[in-house]
Amino acid sequence: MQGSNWPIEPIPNEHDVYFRVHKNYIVNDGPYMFKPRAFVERGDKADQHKSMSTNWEEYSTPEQTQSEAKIPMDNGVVAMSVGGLRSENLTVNHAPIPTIRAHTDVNGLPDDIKDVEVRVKLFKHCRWVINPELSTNP
Amino acid sequence: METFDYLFDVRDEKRHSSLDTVEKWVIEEEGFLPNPDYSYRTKTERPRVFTNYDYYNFQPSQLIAVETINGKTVNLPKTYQAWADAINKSKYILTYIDVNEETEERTTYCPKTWARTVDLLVSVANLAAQGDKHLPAPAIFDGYEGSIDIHWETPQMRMLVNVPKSLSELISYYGEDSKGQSVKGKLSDRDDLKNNLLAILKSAY
Repeated sequence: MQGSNWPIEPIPNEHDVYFRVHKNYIVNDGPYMFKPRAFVERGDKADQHKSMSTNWEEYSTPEQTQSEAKIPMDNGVVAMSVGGLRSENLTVNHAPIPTIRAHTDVNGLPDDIKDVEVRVKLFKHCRWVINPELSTNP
Repeated sequence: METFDYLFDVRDEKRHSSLDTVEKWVIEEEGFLPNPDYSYRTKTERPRVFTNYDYYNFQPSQLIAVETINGKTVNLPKTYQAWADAINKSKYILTYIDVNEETEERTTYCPKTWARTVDLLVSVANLAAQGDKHLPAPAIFDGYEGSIDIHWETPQMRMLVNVPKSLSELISYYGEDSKGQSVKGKLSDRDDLKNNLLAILKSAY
């Protein structure tokens, strides 16, 4: 199946979604992985619902997620636990787009992604899968 | 409204410190862009000490000076050296220009936003040092749209404080501890701000 006809599928809690972090935001200093401002909304600005674009591991890999950036090597990738995000009252919905079957929206964000609460909660469920500033990726 | 002009004015503060090199910050009318001719210069007169904090419970030998901007310094208790280090490390924000990877939009940071951040942290550290709990140092980062984030991440708690670019906007915070208890709110005037944040940090840590 191609184009925009990818079926929307349920994502199990046990799965991860991948999220890109630009090198400008990577910190790697003690407990601090990256700057809290790294969480951004991407995608269709016309969408009425605030969402953060991620890739579902079922149809993507950390490397594929990195490669979707304008300059891939300038980006790291974190994995976020779907069950963890849902436990924070965020919703994780498969939302395929023509070019990216894995595309997944994290919804339930406040009107303003600058909200400090949601950023703290997102941090709790992140772990590096590609860290361009470390010699070995975890 | 608190404007933090005291960090930019030359007033009658006591002269104190052997620091000779100060950074020259040029605040342009629009957006507080760093001057492209930004450079270091040597100031013949010694930097001045700002005296509007809770220093009076400490002997001079118990304090460390942290240079801020325009030759001004603030003092922290020596036991809070890590906080001074965090403040020094955050000075990158003053000349940092963030360029959005996708939109190429450029964001700069206003010295007064940084000064407001430092003011908050110095006040909290000086108050905390008079108590029995030693609080961990935060990390200070450039935030969205010219705001500044103060972030604590420890095994016991995580907290995020956002200092908005506009001085008229309230500082927002959210924190939670390892037991799942959380606090969230906005901080108003300066006294409430430092006392409330200290109370939150102490309860969470």
